[in-house]
Amino acid sequence: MRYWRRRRERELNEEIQFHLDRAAEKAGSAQTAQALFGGSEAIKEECRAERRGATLAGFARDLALGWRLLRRSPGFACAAIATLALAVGVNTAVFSTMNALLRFTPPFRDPGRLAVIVGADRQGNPLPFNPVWSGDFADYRAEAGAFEEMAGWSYSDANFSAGAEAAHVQVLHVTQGFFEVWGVPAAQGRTLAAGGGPREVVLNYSFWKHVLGGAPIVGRAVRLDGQRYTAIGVMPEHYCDNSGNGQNGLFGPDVFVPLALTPAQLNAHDRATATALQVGGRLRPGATMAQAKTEIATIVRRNRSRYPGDGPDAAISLAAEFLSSQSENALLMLQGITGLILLIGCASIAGLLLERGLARGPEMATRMALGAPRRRLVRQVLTEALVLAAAAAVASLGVAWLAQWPLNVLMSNGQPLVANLDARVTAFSLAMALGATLLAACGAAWRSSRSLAANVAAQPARQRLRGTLVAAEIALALVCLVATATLIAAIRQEIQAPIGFDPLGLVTANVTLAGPAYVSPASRGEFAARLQAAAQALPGAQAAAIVNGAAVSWDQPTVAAQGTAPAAAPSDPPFKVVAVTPSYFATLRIQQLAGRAFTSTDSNQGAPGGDRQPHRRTASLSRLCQPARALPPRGSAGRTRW
Amino acid sequence: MAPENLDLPQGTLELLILRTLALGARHGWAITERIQQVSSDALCVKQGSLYPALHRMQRQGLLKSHWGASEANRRAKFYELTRKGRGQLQAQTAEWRRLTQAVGQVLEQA
Repeated sequence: MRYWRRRRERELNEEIQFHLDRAAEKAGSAQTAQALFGGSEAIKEECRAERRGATLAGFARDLALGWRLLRRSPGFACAAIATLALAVGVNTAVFSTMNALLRFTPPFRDPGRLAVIVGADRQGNPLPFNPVWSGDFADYRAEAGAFEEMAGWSYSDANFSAGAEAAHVQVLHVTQGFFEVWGVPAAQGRTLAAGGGPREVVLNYSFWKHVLGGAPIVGRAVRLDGQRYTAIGVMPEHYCDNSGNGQNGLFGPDVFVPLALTPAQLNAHDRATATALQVGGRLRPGATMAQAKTEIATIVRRNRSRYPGDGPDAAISLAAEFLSSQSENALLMLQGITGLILLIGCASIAGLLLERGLARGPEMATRMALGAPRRRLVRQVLTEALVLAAAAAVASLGVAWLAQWPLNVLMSNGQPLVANLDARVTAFSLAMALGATLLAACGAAWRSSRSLAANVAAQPARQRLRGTLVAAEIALALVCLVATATLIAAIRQEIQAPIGFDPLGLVTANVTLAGPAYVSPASRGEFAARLQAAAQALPGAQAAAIVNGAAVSWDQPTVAAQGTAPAAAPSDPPFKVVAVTPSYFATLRIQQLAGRAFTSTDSNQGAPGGDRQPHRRTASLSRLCQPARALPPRGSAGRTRW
Repeated sequence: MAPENLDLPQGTLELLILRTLALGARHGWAITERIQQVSSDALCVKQGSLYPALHRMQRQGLLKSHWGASEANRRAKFYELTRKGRGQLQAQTAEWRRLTQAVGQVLEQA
């Protein structure tokens, strides 16, 4: 290779020299000959450029030169690479999170045809995860023609045992057609068949893999709360895992069991008698969302007049939309700010490159004088920028990777969102790094290659351009600062807003009482008392309490307090009743607005672990969620509820 | 060199080289001499620009080269037409004729 290159060089020199010698003979002087010929070095350079593979070879040479020059000025290189890496990296991280959130597709077959039906307020605004009553579900399913299949599901928990293994599991009770709606077959065995046995259970992958150790399970007998079931299948890995990629955000149980709704449940349209269901459906091919919405709305209107009270309200949305409808605003704001950061980064890079181009004025002038064509010089400057951008791109991937974690935590909103830096995002980052640098380099290249004179003396223009860049940077930084300050203020406000209880040092745990030993309210009450005493006796525990549900949750029955119209104002939030032990308010440090907390002398008929339906009982109006709106402000403490 | 000599229009250098080499292999200096001689020194070939053109045409396969002895018995690089080069010469000559004829017509009659 090198031999050929040397030989070609020698031949080129010889050829030109031959010409010059003959011309000198004719003209009588070497100077005249040279003048007629033109600059030999420039001509030679042009000849070299005509060689096969010259572009590539020249590019490789420029790359090597660029790398050497960057290494010779490590300060400049580090500053430029760090600036770009930071700007592009952060932008990439936000972009990929946005991407994951907005372009999120649930791991189901043909997700564009999947719809979720949730409860809604009287204006038809969806209340995410608010349930649909079983009777309404039956009507939607029977009458809405836009749907090919519709299914409902509800949660419970149970003790699961398979051989020696035992675990406390989340059980999803699913109606017929559930697996057909999502269109994903089992990874092993089969899913629950229509009209199949009621004692069949399908396992979720992560439960089977991580809790049961992935042992062969299909066809084996398992027990749920002591009842015998047959395991008939395991769902695929990404179907509905609660962690990792592809979790679907709609449901994530450990096991699926069939839910056969009784005729009574299929006709129940109110809170007291109906089963609460989450509902999803698959649109018929050719049917549109608008069609489905109209149909559901019609049924809702009819049922509302037919079953007054806490009758049906439902909203319907595409599964993908439903899942990505959270935290978009915050992300858009973040994207805006990071976009500004990118701009600042670009301005800084432009400044750096320009400054460098000017500092290299004499070098460029020398090379021009030696006959380097303008094309070559521009290419050299651009190649150098390319080297810079490549280094920055690699570094920015590192930054993006690091920035991912806080972003994911920030944006996940309880449901973990794993936004991987995928190929497209990587390409995006590389394109941004390249684009920003090349854009800046073009300016520098154009300037430094203009003319000899421009390189030697370019002070005034240089000052002006630098001034403009600095001004732009400061302006952008200011906008960024203001936006960030606003964001921080908003977050502070959010953090300092009272949530109704003191989460500091609060530890919670779930217990399910199952099996014949806990059938009677007395035995459950006794267990609760023992549990609370034991918890209170734990070293370091200040107080302990038991509640038959989470402190703030949506799956507790909503009741209307005596003396107020049921859900009088349309915007009234539903409020929940939970059974608690007297120490509950002290433990959670919940302040009463008026009246007093429970004492042990209050009725304990509905103690947690006992009946789930509370009976006549003194209520303590507490500040759980939205205190002012829970009841009309007219001294309701001391009144009787239920 | 005549004071009123003409600059070559873009792309004609290639045609002149092809035509000059149609008579046989020549080295770069001889090509320069020949063009000036035949055009009665009216055409000014910038001598230096000849070589990049030769190298380009060689890369394109219009020319091939070999090293041989010049008249003064010095080593020199001789260029000659390839088959492709001859075809190119015919095509470009015809094109040039059509062009000059058309331009001439316009100049006479318009």
